[in-house]
Amino acid sequence: MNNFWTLAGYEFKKIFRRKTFPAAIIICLGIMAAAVFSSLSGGSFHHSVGNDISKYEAMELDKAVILTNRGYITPQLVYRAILSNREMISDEENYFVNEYGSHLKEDAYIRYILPYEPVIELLNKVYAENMDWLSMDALSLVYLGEDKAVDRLGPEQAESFDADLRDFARAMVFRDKGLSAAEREKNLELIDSIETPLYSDYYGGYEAYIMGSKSLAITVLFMILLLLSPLFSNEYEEKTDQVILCTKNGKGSLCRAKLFVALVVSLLSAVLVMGLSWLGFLMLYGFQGGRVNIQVVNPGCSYPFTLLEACCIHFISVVFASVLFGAFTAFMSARVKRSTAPVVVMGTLLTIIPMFIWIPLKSSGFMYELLKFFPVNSVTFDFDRSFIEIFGVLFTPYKFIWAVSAILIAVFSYFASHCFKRHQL
Amino acid sequence: MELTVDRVSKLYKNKIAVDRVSLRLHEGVYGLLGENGAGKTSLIRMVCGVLKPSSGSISFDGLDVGDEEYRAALGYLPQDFGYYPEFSAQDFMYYMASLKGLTKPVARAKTRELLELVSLSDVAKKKIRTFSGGMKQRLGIAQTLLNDPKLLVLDEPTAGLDPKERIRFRNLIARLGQNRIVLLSTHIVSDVEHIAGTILLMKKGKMLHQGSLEDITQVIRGKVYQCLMENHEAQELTRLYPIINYRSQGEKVLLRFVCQGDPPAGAVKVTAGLEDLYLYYFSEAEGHE
Repeated sequence: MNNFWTLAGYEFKKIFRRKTFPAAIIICLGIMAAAVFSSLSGGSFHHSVGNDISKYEAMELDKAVILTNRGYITPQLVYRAILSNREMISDEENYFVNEYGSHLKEDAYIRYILPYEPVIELLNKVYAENMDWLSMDALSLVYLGEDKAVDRLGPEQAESFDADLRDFARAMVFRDKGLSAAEREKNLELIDSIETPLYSDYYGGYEAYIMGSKSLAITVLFMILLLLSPLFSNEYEEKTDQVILCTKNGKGSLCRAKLFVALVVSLLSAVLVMGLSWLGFLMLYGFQGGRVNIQVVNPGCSYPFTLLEACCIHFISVVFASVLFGAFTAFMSARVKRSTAPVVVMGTLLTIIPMFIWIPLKSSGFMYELLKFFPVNSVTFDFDRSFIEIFGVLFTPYKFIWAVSAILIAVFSYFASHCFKRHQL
Repeated sequence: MELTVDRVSKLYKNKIAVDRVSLRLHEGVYGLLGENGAGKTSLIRMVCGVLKPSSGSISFDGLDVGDEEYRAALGYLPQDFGYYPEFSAQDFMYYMASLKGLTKPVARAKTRELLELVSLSDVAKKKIRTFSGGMKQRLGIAQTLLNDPKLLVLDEPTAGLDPKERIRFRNLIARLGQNRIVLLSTHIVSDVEHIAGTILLMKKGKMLHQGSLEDITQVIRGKVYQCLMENHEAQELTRLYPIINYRSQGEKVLLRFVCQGDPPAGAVKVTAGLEDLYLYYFSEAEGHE
């Protein structure tokens, strides 16, 4: 192996001994801790209203109430949820009136709604009268209207809930004007494969992780940029390239060792930051929620996944995006003539700019899909209805992005090595 | 053992740094002399494979400069030697040993031996950033020898060394030249004069002369004079002849100069040295060529 492992060891040593390493670690840990704890401190919990208790205690109390009805969303559960809501709205004592109107009392909410909260929120979405939705990613299907559909539902609605849920998902597909006929067909197939009854549980930990996942993934990308931008350029900057490139292993094993280290650092950064944050969220909110169907959160989602499966897919997407970004950073580092600073600037711009470009699917399907290939976009928790169509064959976007990322990782690695070997003094 | 440089040229945009240089070097020490910008470093970098020639070829015992085996036979100390400030001298040597393909036990033994040789054993575990310029230079010299190179290329190896160390290294380089090719580029003419069996003189990218000290000083042999004279007479002489040295001695001036024809009265013929030749070619004396 021509001292490959020894050289890889030295490359790790170079990274660890740079001043940017402890700085990157501290910043990263700070962002992880802030993401985990701010989700709690910034969250609103029903038990905290009017009670002198901590947010954590309030969250625990909310969770305990929701857990009383964990399990499959059977017609019986839907029935009980509708009845509970009906009982609540029929008693005026549950409301208070002020100059702004009539408002539900918090203790009434805790008593009647909170035990059925996931179910009632789901009913409000599935039976909403006008389809006035805002959806940014798989978890955020926000109803923009004021209608609370559950208030008009009768207990008889419970029996048809599963079929109505599918109809809602199908309607969302047909409402999406940018989809081709083949994409619509594919979505309908996916909707048919959703297993019902859906499973409901307290999913605060998963929800908080998903909400924070994009900023955490961007943190990973910046960490990779900081750690890997000097990978090759530092040799040019320190003028060690001259002695390295004229040694036996300087153009072979060393390049391979550097690229290996780049891939390992990217992989570990993604796995550790995302993995530890995920664990942190679950430890804080509880490990429940993995079995919850994604449709409980967003009934308009076509994919038949549980939250655990969706989070695993997203996690793999972040790993691929990070390794791709690591390979790209290594390539830029090898490409520059002298200093590391341009690598950091270019990497930052390439990370930030695509975040602010959004092209609607109906305007340009190609551009819409193309933007997803930028690491900063491919780390979005995104299970939308579009597919990638090549010669009439539909590919699931996340799988296609993984495959393309793997190819691009190989391409950037090759060119990084090529640029370093051919670097002229 | 033969290093062949065959009609090698290097062009930077519209400037010719090295112009069709051809050399055949065998075991021994070769001193490459030339003023700044003469093309020495470009030539050396091409010999080391870190700069691609615009035309021509370089090979060592039939191995092309791009071959891994060529690099395995090479030891190179660049002019501006780079290092990792956070590495200790020992770490740096181990790292270079890995790059040169040495096994761990060999790397350890060689590192110990070479750090001893360059008097850095006591500071082997200290970070390089704490080293003085001379210590870094000694470390640079030590790393070139790790792989026992057959072709040793040293660009300004004695820069930053104190006179005592310079002489020590001069002797070491002379010893190394017994069974390998040592190509030494320097501004310190006395170093070349003392140890180089063959001198290569470069000017404006071209190889002006190559040969032994005897051969190369042939150009000015019998033409170097020295005389002690009044200041105003010395001023007059500087306009007429290429001046190699001008030194005040009390009220008078000791002048060393090159004279093609009849020397001025009182001038004494002296033995021409390499420094005379160097100054003749590369100092203001050039204007009188």
